[in-house]
Amino acid sequence: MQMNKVSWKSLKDNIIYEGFRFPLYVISNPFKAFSDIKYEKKGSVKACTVFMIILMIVTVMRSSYVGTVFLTKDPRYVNIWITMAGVLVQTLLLVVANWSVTVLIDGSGSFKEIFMVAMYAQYPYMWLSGLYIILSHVLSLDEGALLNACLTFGVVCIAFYGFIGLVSVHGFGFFKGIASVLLTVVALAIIVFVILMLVSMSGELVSFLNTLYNEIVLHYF
Amino acid sequence: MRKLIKTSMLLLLTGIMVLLTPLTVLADSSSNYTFGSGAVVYRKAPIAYEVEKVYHARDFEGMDDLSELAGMFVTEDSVFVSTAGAVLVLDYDFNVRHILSDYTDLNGNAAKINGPDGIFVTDDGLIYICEPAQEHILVFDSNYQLIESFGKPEGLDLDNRYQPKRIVVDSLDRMYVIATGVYDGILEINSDNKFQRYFGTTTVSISVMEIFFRAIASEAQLSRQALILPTEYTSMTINDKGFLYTTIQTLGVEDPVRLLNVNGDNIMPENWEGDSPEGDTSYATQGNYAGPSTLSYIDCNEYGMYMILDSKQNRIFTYDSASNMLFVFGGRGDKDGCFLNPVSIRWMGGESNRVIIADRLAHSITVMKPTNYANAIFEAVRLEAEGDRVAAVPYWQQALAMNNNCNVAKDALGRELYWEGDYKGSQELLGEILRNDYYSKAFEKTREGLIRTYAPAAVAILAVLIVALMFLRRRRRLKKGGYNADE
Repeated sequence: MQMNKVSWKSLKDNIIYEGFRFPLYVISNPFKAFSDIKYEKKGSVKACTVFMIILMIVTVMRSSYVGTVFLTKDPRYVNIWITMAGVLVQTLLLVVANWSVTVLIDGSGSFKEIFMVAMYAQYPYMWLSGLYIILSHVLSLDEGALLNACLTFGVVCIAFYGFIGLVSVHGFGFFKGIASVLLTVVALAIIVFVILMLVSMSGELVSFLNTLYNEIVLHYF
Repeated sequence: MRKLIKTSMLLLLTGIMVLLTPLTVLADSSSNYTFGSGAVVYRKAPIAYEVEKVYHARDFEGMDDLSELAGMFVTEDSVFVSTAGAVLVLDYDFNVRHILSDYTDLNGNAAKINGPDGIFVTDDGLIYICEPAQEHILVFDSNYQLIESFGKPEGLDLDNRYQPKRIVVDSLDRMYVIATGVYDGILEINSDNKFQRYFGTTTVSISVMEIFFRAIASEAQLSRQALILPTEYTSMTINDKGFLYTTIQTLGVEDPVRLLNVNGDNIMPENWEGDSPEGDTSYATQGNYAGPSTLSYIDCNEYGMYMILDSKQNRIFTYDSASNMLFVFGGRGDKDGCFLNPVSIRWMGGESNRVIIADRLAHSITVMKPTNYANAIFEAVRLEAEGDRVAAVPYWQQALAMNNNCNVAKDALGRELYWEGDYKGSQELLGEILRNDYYSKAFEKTREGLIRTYAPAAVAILAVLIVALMFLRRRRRLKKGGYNADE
């Protein structure tokens, strides 16, 4: 009984620390916090995974639960799985692209650290998206600028904290950081190109098999 | 591990294959549909037009066949139809008034009508007939006597033959002519056959990728590719204010349906969703009938509605003056009400809103009449065009009762409820079709109402709470003070 109580309390403290205290610390002292992640093993992958899931859910909610005033697409026709997969794929692609580039140019960050940087960088965006959903039920179209500002600020946060995080985690200088970001974009383009090629080629394979199936069925049955 | 990778790759590939299976979105060809809001989805709608009668050559006295049907024109009491060697003049009950085939030309020789296409009849009864193969436009008076024959206009420089296909004449007797093989626009020709200017010039847009591929392509590859040409206008009609409704074949053109003002600028409005009229908004990308609608004929009526003929799916789309799609009818096929190769469509005048469609391959002229559903919409649009929104309401309600997906009706009724002050009802209707601008206005009003009713109570409760808190705090402090005093 006593044990249970203690572990519950420590769990609660843990959640408060990893879910709120530490991310807020990252927001207030990004340089220090990101080097803490690297050198003192602060922050946790578990928490970051939870943030990822929250981001996915919030993105889906933003297309379904937004106030009717700001609704642009009928929520009945939103495919939540595709939307969620889209967010996941985007994030993972970015992380993979950055990791594959920085491995080549002597960045010292690991895959795990890059993922954590990405997640802590989107932490404000995640909550701002939630705020967006709530405010969209209260504001009218004329006041919608506030909502856009909300999201834009979130995106700026991602760029700002993301850059600081990458620079600290990889041990880059400013210009090398910029170069790594540009190279990441190139790597991303290559990855997407390869995937698209795979998709279109497998599409041709599908249509070939389809033709084959039709020929056989129409000929013998 | 390797096995795991293999399985996951296999699963991924299967997933991709499943995703790639073509999804068909088109409603079946002969039925009416509406566009859904907020996402491109087709929803079935009640049938808008039904066949009144299909006319063949045997129904017209003195006609052997109805081959090579082409342009048509409708005046207040007659219908003019181009066929292979004659222009058929019919009355509204489709009795033959006259068959215009033999005439004496300006030199006094006997001549025959040969391959006529576009027809235009002015208010004075002058009949303009385009003969593309003969390279001229003939003008007859109301007794079917030739009074003028316009060859290639003076001052027009062409590389190839002059083949006038469609003609419209405005109130100042200026002729607007669409000629085959002329890509610069509509020819504006004044009444003594002098070429004035190109009207409503179309521009081509080439993407960066296209430029890139053309730069690296070899001569042989280039010769196999289609020429990049500005597309031709395919048809036009004029409304009572002198504006031209025109269609352009869709491929690569941004606004295939244009409303041209006197300067030749496109003033066709976008609808409230930001879409321009273009026929089908979603279409198959592979197969026999892939690609966007091929718009080949247009007609307008006196209250701003217009209909366009898609000669790919053989369907006719009707729009109102705000570019909202009202209904679709027609389709591919050889049953009555479907068409094999429709070449021209016209509204017949009067209250009945009947439509005539010439089918070149079936050698027939189909007369279609609107159903109750289409009639309700016609009446509502007519009343709105006359400025009587309130009188249009019952007709919109009729249309909505017959089709719960009728977005135009929901839109009109929702806005009307807003103006009447029923903000809740307005929100309900406009929310369903995601009309955000008016929904937001109605929302502001309901929000204001909510604040009006609950703000005093909320403020009062807040005040009470604050007072209570202050009181509690003071009491606690007093208690503490008391203990301190004891010590």
